[in-house]
Amino acid sequence: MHAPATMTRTWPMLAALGGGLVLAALAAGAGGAPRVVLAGLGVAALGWGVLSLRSGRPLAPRTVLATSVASLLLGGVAVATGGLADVPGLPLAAAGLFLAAVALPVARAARGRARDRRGPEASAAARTAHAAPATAPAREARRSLVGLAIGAVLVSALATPALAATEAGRTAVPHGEHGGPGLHGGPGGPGGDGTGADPAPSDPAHDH
Amino acid sequence: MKNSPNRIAATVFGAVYVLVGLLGFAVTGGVDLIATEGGLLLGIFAVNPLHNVAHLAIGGALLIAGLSTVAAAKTVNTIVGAAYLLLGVVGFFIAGTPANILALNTPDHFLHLASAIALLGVGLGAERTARVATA
Repeated sequence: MHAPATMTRTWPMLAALGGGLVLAALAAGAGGAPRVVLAGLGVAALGWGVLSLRSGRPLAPRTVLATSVASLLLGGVAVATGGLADVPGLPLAAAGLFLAAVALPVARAARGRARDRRGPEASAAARTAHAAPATAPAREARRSLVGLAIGAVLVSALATPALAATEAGRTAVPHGEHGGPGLHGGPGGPGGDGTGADPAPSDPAHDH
Repeated sequence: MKNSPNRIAATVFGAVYVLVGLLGFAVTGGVDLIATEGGLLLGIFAVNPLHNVAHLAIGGALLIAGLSTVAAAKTVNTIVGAAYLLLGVVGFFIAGTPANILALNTPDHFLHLASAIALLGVGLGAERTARVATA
């Protein structure tokens, strides 16, 4: 397998995990029908990510592709018509990015599966065209680990601020960074009141 | 070991978490065991003594598993990854409440989420046939 392919093989699944977390957190702060839809999508994304990681390939690529594209389109329409006015923008954009990151490689997988259905000659020809020299297991393992670590950092870098910007994340503002004087010199240090219980949510030092 | 992604990941993450657990005690002098607001490790990550103990326990489990077999490393990676993913979700809901007994802050969430995804990814995705004897 080519090095980039080895490194990015798990990225759609990792993106599904990140997207699932953000969608679930959005659902926690939403109400009515959006809550049901967001929670359903979030749980589905988390489940698909775990099961696909376990099986080593994107499961049900056509269904996932259709669901991702439909969700992106519906989300776009809902944002344009003000249907998601109460939902914060950053997590919504992050969820959209995660869905796109799932949809693109899955579309490729769906195309590969369609090629397989066309006949053994076609898929054999495609396999020959994409054949890569055999790689040593140790090198393959290293590449796959490095790819996984990069993917995990990318997903976390997008998911963490998105989660912090959700309703659930905003209610969790004053945690851990505002201890009493002398404990630490955190971002709230000079501006803090020294009580360790600074509740001001509008303090820029509280922005995550 | 160098052919096994699970053993490499478990050993590296285990060593890092043991180190983080030990360093944590340097910044938590005078902090209660389950204080909801702890000291800052590296000036970023909030920890309290219980958080340090958790790091040591998790690091130790990963390190032992990584140094033993592929099957052990795969199992521990998956369990710790799932636990961190759960912590990443639950952490946002309990932070700012007395239930935040690990003194979690946002950088902690970032690190836990990244660890969760990496460990779950390697635990579930690599070595699905668990080549115990060959590693």
